[in-house]
Amino acid sequence: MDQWYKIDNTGKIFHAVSSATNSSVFRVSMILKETIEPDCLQKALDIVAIRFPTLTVRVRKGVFWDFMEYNDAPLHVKKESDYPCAPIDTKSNNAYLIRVLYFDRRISVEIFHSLTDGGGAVEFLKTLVYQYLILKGESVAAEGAVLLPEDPPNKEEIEDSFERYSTGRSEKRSGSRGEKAFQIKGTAFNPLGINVIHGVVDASGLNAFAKRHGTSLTGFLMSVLIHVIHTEKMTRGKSEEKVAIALPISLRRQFPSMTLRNFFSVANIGAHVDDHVTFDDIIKEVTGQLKERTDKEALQANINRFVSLQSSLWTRLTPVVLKYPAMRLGFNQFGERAKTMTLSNLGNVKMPESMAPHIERMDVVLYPTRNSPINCGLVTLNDQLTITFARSIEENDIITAFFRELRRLTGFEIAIYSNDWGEET
Amino acid sequence: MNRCTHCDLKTNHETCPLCHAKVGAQATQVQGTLYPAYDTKEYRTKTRISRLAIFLGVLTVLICLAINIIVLPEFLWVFYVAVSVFYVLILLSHTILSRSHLGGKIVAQVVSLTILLLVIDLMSGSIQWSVDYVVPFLIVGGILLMSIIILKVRLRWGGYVSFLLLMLALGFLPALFYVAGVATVLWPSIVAALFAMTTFSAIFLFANRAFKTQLGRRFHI
Repeated sequence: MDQWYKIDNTGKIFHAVSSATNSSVFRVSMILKETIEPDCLQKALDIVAIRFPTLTVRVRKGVFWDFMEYNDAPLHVKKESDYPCAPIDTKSNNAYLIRVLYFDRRISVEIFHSLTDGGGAVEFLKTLVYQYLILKGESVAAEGAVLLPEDPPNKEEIEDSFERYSTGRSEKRSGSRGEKAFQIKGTAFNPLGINVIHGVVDASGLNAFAKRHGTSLTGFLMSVLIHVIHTEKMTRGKSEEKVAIALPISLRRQFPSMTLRNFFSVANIGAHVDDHVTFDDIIKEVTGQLKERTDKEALQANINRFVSLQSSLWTRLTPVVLKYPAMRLGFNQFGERAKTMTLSNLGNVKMPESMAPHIERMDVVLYPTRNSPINCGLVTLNDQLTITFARSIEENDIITAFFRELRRLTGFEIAIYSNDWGEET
Repeated sequence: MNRCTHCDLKTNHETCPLCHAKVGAQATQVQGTLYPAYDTKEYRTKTRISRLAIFLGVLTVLICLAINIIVLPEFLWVFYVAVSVFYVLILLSHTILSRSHLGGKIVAQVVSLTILLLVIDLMSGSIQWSVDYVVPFLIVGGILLMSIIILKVRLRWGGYVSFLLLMLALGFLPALFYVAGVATVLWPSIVAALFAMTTFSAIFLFANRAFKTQLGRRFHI
């Protein structure tokens, strides 16, 4: 069992950039219909952990790259007491970069992003909840929608699919830093922490509404977001900068892969908005860009760029002590600078029909960063779309405006709840 | 569920999570609350303690600087204080209070003590006794201590490999000082470099295959 893995192409970046204000820890949760039984959850985790060898690892320091190694220490479930996506203290977590939390009816999995992306995390959570329900004595079946805990890990699940799909054509990013996007500023919470606000809305209704407007659910919500951020921007008198939303795109759809490791790309969708631009214009612009940036050729170019950047001998032979600061600089200058906010849609999560009655809904929390202090995560389960904003600043004007505007535009009921971090009474 | 009339949204909260307007009593939820109540005082205390330690350190240096300039401006003894404060901060925050890896604590001690000694030596006129004798033996001590710990912890040695490699690399620092003309006495530098090489060779030749496997992983490109 002395297995080790190189950190995948995207995962390496998270090692370089994580800090107190950028935990690089994201969360996926399922809210069940009944209160969670910790002992049962622990037993389920003990069984499921072995099934996901690339998630239950420790990270070791290397001279040129860090790497992941099999971890045989126990992984304990914990009652949630900290704010979502808090940095993972490996010392108190038996060196794991993943934690399984429970609170009331919620089971949450928080993962350091270098291990996997949203797709991998959802598969882990699905299997965990499946095993939990089995141990609770519920009559549930996998129905081909869940990775079975008793199956051995498939070789393809642990592969770095970037390497598989790279066509080897070196496609370098242009030297320029690109256009700077509008950046949200605010007062950081004291003490540091993350406030989450969830809005639950009818998924199929909203999807149909978006279709009627000639766009997808993601396109519609992104357009609302750009619209409200623009309004907020105008109050600060910053009319020149464009509003750009970074959209992580799972590559598994266009490049078939069973990998449970990182396999995503990011497309920045932006629009210059002024007083003459209508909401319909924004939808048209966003939808057009979505089509263009999620095109297979564009994604292939991204894969090639990722791989060629990290496979050059110069990059590989530079020690991590020098490489990480350089990667941090690149991340801030190219990644963070070019976006206003990240919006990630994990899509409509398919669950076995027999499990559906036991689960109410899901949510995903995306860690905010210093330059992107508000981020948004979307996920649909049981026809309920949960829109989650995570923020590290006191100001919530954009979030308030977003939900009010969504309600006004669509007329759909939205149920709001929050963890109330930073809301002193 | 309550309804916020300002936002036109439903919520189980007593106040609207968006506009903070009072919207009614907290709904007696069949579902219960989904997040714990946070003890922000505890978070604040943690932040304040570390900030207070840094502030006290800076304050000490500033007061000493003022006294130094007023009383004895021709001899800047304040540097002794500054470097000592730096060392004490490392000692407290990393070596004693943090839960960092023991290997990391040894490396941090060797590095911070080296800096402390270099500055003290420099202040006394020219760098001499520190680079000639003390730093080489400090590094030898660090390598020795780490090797003994690795032999003692047996199964859990994996976490020490990077730190040991770092210490072994530091073993060549005194020799570099000598080549650069900073150090004037050769033999302690040679002892440190030889000790580092001997330790590495011994581990490489006598350790089990697992260590060599670890080396392969640490140096993978």
